[in-house]
Amino acid sequence: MKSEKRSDLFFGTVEFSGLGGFQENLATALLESGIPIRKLRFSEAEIHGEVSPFNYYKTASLARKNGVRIRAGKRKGLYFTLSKYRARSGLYVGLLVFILLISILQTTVLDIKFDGEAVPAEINPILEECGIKIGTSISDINFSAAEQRLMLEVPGCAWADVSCEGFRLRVEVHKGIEVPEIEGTNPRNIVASRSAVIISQTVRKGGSVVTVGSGVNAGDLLVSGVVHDGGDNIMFIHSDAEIIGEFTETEEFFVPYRETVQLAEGKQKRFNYLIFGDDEYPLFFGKAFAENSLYSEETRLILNGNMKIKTAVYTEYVEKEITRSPETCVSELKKQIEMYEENFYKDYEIVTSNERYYPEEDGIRVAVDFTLRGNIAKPVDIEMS
Amino acid sequence: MGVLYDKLVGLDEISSRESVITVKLCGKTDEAEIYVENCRKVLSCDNEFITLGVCGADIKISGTPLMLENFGVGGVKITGKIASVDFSDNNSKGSVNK
Repeated sequence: MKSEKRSDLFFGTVEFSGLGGFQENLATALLESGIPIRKLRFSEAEIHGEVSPFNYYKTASLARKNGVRIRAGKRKGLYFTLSKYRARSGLYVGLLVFILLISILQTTVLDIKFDGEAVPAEINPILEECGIKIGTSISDINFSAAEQRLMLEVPGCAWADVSCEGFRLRVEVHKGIEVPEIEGTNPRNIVASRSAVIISQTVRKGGSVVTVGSGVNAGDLLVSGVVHDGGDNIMFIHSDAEIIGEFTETEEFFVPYRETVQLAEGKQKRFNYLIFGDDEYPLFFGKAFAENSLYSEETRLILNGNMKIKTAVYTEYVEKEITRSPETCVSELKKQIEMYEENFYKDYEIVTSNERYYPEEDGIRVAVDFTLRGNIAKPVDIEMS
Repeated sequence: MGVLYDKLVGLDEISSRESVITVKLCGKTDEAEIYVENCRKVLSCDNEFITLGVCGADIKISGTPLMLENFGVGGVKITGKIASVDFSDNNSKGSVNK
């Protein structure tokens, strides 16, 4: 109650002094009316005190009722300081222009600030692909989509945040700490991970038991971890080597002429959340969920960037039957081969790839013979008994 | 107006029958602060003496120079070099527990 009453005095105070009448009654009346008074004192038949400018007229009226002749003294505080300038119309115009300017400037991105381990040359093209550059309207930016894109496209990205502070877009990217390779000391052999012809070998530790140009089967010993010291002693060492072998693999791919696929092109269900600081408040009743749907997120800023609206979008999968021409089937097969190479052969060098197409009744089949080169060394611990 | 209204008015009256007085000494200086709740009346006051009327008693505070402030309705704070605080019964309802 104390602070509530004192808040009146924050705007300013008026000193008053009163002479004659029933001063004790005036003090009682002021107490009863709940008017906040400060420094009320009685000296030489006068009452002195301070009240808020908003309560002065009420105080004066109470003083008159109790026969006290009241007089206002020193006025101080924010209320009186502002009162001095209230006739200056230029101040109001300036304030209005200032607010307008701030509001207009905050609607577009005027600066992009990079934090964390973000390299502008690496981040800028990704942001531009998301439609974010200087001059972009802030309300058009989908922040969560940009964050997801950064997470996917920045190598080693562990955490990404895109936010707006006024007209400045802040992009923060942090990369994860790479786990250092821990060199073991346990004795081990190196065997072939697959059947291949040895092209080259680099043996750092251990004794090589194969020669370049020789063929090996999967599981054959390549580098031994058991080494003789020239005398009668045998040493068990942690062998280490890179053995490059060449080998072939055949993979088959098939694309039908007719196929039923599930595409996220159905009805959309949207659920909005208000984000304020780290808190998220749902703007709907019930649970945000839709069965057999693709989930995506959109985030937009509101109220000059002070709050965010996150929209969770559930797009229903619908079954669609598609018909392909032979040419479309071939281009689809080529895509499949490309994806397979990216996913499974990124650690190998593809020397040759020979494609053989087999048209069938219901689609086109392709058999691809890959000739690959890569490290076939596979460490195997030596079991000591 | 109703039973509930009467009960609420009764509760208000019960709370206003009690007055808590807090004396706060301000460190090394001789200044002290006295907080009086449910003060009903300022009976007399000048630079050296302030007499307040609470339910069941009059409180006479002597000191110099005494200054009075209020907090909320019926709440009074007196500051100054306090010399003594005297209580005396008055005729209003209530009792004094010193």
